Amino acid sequence: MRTLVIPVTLTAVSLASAGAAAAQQSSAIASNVPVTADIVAAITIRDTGSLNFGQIVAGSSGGTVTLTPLNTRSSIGGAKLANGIGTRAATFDVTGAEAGTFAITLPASPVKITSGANEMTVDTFVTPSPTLALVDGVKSFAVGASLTVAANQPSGHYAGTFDVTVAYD
Amino acid sequence: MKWRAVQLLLATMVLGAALIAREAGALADIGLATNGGLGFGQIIVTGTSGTVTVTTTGSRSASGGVALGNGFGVSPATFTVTGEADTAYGITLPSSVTLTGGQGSMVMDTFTSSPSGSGNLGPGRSQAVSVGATLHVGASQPPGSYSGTYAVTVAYN
Repeated sequence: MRTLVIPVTLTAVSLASAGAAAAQQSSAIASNVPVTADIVAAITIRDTGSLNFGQIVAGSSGGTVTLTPLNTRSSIGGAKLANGIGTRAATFDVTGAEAGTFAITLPASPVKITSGANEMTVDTFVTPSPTLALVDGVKSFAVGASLTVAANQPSGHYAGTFDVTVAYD
Repeated sequence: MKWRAVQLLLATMVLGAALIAREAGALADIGLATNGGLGFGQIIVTGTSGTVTVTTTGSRSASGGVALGNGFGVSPATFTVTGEADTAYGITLPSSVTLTGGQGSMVMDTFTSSPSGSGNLGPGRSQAVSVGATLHVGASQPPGSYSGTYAVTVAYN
């Protein structure tokens, strides 16, 4: 019986080359990733008329005069309404983004109006809507408030200033 | 005659084993899906140029003369990378992209990503990636909605 010797050569096969891994797809791209930004013009506000309570007669007891954003004036207590010439709510024009919305900030603390050494306070500032929408980049609004008249408030022309702020929201 | 046939059979078996071994070593294809785009939100021009940056975590800041408006749509771009488990990959970001609007254009650059530079798919075979960038706004940048597109690439190291 002959012994059969089978020469077998096993060839070492390198499975991975040094460097890039073997994969059908070793890189991937996300094309057309979107990016967006909205540019708007700065918002501006301009006052177009002062808040004016008109003529008031002080009484022997204190009272309050209220002026609404729609120019309606009323009084309670000792203060009485006299002529209403010049009575008007404060009005403002706002400009900005074509179609932006903005919030209105009114004074949170009472404002003093003075006539020489005499003073009265104005507070409870109101406007119909705390936020408004600009239309074609413009919008107007009005502000009313309440005036506290002391008993026997000395006569005179009383004046003061207050701040209104608008900001995009 | 018989011996030659056996030699041929053995040679074929060796070659076959090598081929099978090579298949088993291949990596799963890497994939990249976009989940959401990059948004800078509303920006207010004030007459002085400036920049707005959105980070990979979605926080927005302004420098120079521009002011931030409402934050609707502020977001980093988000992606999901998939592929072979526990495998590292590199992330390639653009250097500069132009956004265009009704009457103007703006440049966006200084791209950032999280992970930064490279990531690893981990045992879950996937990883979330987010991308931020910086937008350059001109002093008199015309108002409007601006948009653009760009590409992000991932590749096994």
